[in-house]
Amino acid sequence: MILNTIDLVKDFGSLRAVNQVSLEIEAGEVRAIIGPNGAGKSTLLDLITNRSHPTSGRVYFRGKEISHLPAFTIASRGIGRCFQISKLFPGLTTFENIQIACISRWGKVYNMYSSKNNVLDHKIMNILDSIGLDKIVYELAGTLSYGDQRRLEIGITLAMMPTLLLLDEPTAGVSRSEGNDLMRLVKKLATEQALTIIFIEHDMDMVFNYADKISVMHQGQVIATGKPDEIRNNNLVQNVYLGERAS
Amino acid sequence: MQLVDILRQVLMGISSGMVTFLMAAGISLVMSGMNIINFGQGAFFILGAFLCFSIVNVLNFWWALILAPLIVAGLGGLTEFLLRPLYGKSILYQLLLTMGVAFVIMDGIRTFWGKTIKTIMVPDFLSSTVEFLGLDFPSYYIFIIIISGFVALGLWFMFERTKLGMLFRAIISDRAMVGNLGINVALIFSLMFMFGVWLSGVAGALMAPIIGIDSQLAIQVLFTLMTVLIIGGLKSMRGAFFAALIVGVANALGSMLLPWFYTLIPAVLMITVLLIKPEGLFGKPED
Amino acid sequence: MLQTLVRNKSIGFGVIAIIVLSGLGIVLPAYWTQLLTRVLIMALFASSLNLQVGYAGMLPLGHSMFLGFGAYSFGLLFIKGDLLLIPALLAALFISIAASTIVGYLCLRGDPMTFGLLHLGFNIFLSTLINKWIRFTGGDSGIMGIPRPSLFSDTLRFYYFVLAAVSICYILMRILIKSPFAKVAQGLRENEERLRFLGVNIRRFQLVLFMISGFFAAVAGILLAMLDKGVFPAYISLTRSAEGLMMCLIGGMSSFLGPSLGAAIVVIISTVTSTYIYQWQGLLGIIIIACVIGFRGGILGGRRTQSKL
Repeated sequence: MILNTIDLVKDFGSLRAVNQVSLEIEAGEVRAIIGPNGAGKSTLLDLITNRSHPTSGRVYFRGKEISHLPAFTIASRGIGRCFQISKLFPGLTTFENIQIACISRWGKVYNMYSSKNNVLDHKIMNILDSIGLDKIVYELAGTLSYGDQRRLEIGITLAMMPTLLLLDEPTAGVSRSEGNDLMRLVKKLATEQALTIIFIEHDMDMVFNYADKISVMHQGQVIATGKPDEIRNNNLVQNVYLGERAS
Repeated sequence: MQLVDILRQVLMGISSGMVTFLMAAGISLVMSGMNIINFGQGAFFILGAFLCFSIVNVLNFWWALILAPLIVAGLGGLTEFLLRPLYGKSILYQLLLTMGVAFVIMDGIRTFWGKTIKTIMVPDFLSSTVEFLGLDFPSYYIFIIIISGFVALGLWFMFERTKLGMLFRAIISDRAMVGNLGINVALIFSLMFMFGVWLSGVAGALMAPIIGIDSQLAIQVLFTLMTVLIIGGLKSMRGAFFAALIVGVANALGSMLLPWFYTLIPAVLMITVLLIKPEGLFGKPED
Repeated sequence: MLQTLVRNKSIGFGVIAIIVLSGLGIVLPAYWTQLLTRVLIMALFASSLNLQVGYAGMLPLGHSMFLGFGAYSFGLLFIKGDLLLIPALLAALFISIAASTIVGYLCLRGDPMTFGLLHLGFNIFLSTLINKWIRFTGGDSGIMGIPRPSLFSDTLRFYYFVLAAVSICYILMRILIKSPFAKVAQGLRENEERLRFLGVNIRRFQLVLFMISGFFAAVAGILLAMLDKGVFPAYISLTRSAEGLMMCLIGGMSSFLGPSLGAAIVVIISTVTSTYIYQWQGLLGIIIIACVIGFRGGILGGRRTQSKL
């Protein structure tokens, strides 16, 4: 079990955004988290990465508790995060965006002199290649198209070579075909790097095509977890979520 | 030293604190509503004092009290106009622009009024003392406290009870929404800024009779203002009020009791507050 | 050798610059050489500030503190502590690094706004302290009698000394600028949260950058003390901090040499016009206003344009 949370709770004042969520994710799994807007999905990711402090509950990653570690430590231990709204370095080029991730990954953050033959350059180009951005290496990230920015977001995160990848609505705002490209890319890289993936998604086709298991959230709680077929046929889920969507 | 001396110092401290509060409120208002930090407030203060000096020699002190702040406010409006392209940009630019304006004002003062320190006399009927509980207190300081009190009350009244104040409060809590309601936010911004500067002008005119009017004071005053605002919280009027009074009285008492050391008190207070509660005594942490 | 020069633009440019500056030293009359010395020193100061402002996007509002740390510790150690020049210099550097570590640690405890205010607060505190502690620091009149290295005591020779010292610092900074460390600093400016989620300990990183920036400012402070043959409270004033920021803005924060150009402009204006016109503050104010509104880029490029960093 690579990640498990125990009774995670997050209160914002009197609003309980996440309510006693206990999840267990196996290594190599692709888990989708679905649910209506406001169900607490993004907040749950925030709690796991400690972007937001849990009100109570614990998080274990690879057997060790990470509940109170600062966000940067959790990130460096191998949990990568793609955000719903891309967090890039807008004033820097595509190349530099990946470069910074690689610098961090390969421990060169405090390297204050640079060698001429930078071995990292090859790694950076490989990553750019694999996410299909090798042609626009010198564009400023802030000027990229939306789809390319999403790719770059994934590229930056993957450059860290995480063990667990958290994706927040990776295909939101892109066309169906581009979404499929993105997910196929993610799945391919995940297999290559033996990644575990948790992704939040609203597009049900994406969910049923790519997920091994699905967790359904509603009003801060996980109301069902199971394989895609089980979830599809689950009455409670249909009423609460799919039913709501239909209406 | 006697009780009367201490009380007199406290009175002077309160009066300087009240004046500082007016200026600090001016910065705080603009900070809350427009997210702009007006580093020129000290320069506007001293300009108010100089204008008071000139008007007093032509008309009288009461006219000076009314006109000087208005003129200063006009300059404030010009400054706000210059600041417009900078809304939403990094605070560095606003800081530098308002500092630039301060420099221009200070130089303008030297050009127009020369480099000598000016003084004016306290108006006659206020230059005596007032007896209270058997002790004598200088009337002018009481006058300052009363006038500042009125202005502060007027400020509160405007905020809480008038339409303009309501617009101010609305902008402070949600600027975008107010814009969406079709209200001319730009105009309100101008008014806000000019009002903040007007407060400085009032402070300058009030203090003119009891200070040596010197353009270099502008920086000193800015020091004090920043100290007070940091202690009280940049965006909090209440914080500015209490911090200004605390600093004013501490300074006044300190200058009497610890003459060597007292100027450090505000700075020490400031650092302590920043280390313990960075958002200021009355501030709210930005989550 | 020539090939290396041609291939590596910055080395070539640097060599030419040093040659030109050396030549100027010989050609110019003493008044201008002295002025140029001051320009070099303040350029170093501004560049040290820009490490934080232009690269990392931090807002140190009281950077003159470090100018003061360097100058005053050097001055006090020499005059009151009776140290010889070189030990005083080394000790001053050491003290300055220690001071910048402490100040940095305390300032970086909160969010960026708090950082700026605390930084300003410390500047105000130290400025007041130095002005008031007359017995120790000479207060307003400062301390006189700071020496220059005996080999370099006249105007021209001291100019070359400063040129050498500043050039070394610039070479060091240049190396730093091209390193992975500086790239990460830019990431900090562009998106601090993303950097955090890439596993970087933001506070530690900022502290290291802060110490480096403070170090170079302290060096500038020591050189300034030698130039003026004394140390004065003006070194640590709020105005000096603001001037530093103005230098970065006017010259352009997003280029390596921008702040140096800004420093040249500010120093020349304030010194020259104060001789002829006396009132330079207003002129400086107008230039700043023009730069901020007109071309926020500064002369050599602002924050959000093509980063030629």
